[in-house]
Amino acid sequence: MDELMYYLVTPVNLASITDYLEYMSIDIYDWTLVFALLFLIVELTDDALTRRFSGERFFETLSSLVTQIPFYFTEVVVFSAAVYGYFTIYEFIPWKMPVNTMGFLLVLLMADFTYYVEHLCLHRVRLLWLAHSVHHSSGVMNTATAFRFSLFDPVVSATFHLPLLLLGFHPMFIFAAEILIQAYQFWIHNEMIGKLGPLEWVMNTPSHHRVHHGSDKEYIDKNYGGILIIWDRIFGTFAKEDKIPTYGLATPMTSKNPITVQFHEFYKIFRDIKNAKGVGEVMGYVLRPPGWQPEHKNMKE
Amino acid sequence: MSLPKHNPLLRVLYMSLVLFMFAFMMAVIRMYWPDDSQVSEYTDYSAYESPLETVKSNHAVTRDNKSLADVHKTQKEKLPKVMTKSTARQPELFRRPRFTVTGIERMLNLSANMQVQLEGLWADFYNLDTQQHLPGLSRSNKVYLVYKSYDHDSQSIEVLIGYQYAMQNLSSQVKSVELPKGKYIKRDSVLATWDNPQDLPLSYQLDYEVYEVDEYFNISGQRAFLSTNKGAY
Repeated sequence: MDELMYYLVTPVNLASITDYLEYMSIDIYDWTLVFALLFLIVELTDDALTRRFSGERFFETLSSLVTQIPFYFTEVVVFSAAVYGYFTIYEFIPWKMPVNTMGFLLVLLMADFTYYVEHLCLHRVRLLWLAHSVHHSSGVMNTATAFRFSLFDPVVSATFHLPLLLLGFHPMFIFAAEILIQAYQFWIHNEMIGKLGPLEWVMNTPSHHRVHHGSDKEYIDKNYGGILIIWDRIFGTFAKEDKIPTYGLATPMTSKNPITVQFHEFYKIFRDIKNAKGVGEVMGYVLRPPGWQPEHKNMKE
Repeated sequence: MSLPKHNPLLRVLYMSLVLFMFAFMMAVIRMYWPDDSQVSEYTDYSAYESPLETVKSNHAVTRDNKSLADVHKTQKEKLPKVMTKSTARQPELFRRPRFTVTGIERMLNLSANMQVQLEGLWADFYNLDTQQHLPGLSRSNKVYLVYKSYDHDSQSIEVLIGYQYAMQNLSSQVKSVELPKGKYIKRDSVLATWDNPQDLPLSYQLDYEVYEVDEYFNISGQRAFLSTNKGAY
């Protein structure tokens, strides 16, 4: 088994823990994609056998997968820039955290909390919701939804992890943690796995994440966690899955057109900003939570 | 609450796939882990200075472990520090991939002061115009010191100092060496291990050290990988 693994894992020179983390995390991410495609095949076969399969579900799945194309291009550019930028900034930071195994576990924990904060902001700041709404606009919950991203998502992620860099953590630690947390997301977007007993107490599970994708009133803006669900339990954003959620946006978006999928929220914010009265309202539309309206509009309604 | 209706067999298959994925990922995580978890403990850099001092006062490097042990015994009192870190543990074997190191090569004399010769080699390498001789080299914080072609009779050895770099048509000032893929014994220092090999199955074919350095060549970490007799482990 060891021999087999040796040839499966990229045979490169791993002379330090940062090298190790670089190759390990990228290997994990690549293999996760392979497994995710297998999950998706099983899900689609299951759809067919249980007569759930429909043109609507199929094209929704396809439309989610297609978002990877623009996402991939910006991801390559932004991630490369972030790697260069992070390493450059790191040189100037006078305090450096230890580069060892325990240091990495600490970064992983802190990056998971960063993911929670970032995710909360993605939902609660409309400017960021422009990007993240793409991930939530599907009415179908299968592994393809995990592939559904906006082309602007990479920018947000690179920004939110800057505090970890300023604390003096090695950039490779931060990127590796980020990649591992991303990879974790591919097994929680499905309707195949029910509740998982005690795991549900601490880990983010398919059940918790279905809730996160629900547009039902009791499920909106809940369960932001990445790998751990404890952040939601601590900060009061946790909701238990009591019924199968209705997936998608509060105002449904059913288009499969890749351009509409990427930009549907842009049309809406553009319309709102055009009708805004004064800078205050513009800022409100940009920085307040999605669905926010100025007082006079609420009064009218 | 109940999930949508599923085919039971496919559901079992799905969950098995998830479990298999986690097991597989654990194997990926563990693959190279032991090496690095130990690297992380290396914070006391004074430990790395002692092997060089040991070598300085004991020039005998031989393939015969017994005679070396005798030499070591007689000189034991003269040695202010004895490297215990690399000899106290059982040998640790690590699979290392094949890769090429390019840099400056010198023939060094083991019966002369190795410390001075190595320092000269480091200084020459520091002054090497990498833009000219190693075009396209990406910034690297690892310097390799490769020890090869030992000659017991003349007490000479070829030492190449360089970066991981592989390119055709090199200038005459620089040389390349390909480090073979295989199992290596991991230690802290090549010279210190030769000095006190104990019962290690060293093959004395090609050994190398990896140094973690900053841009001014301040060393922050050091490991040595020594070739071993095949089949010994």
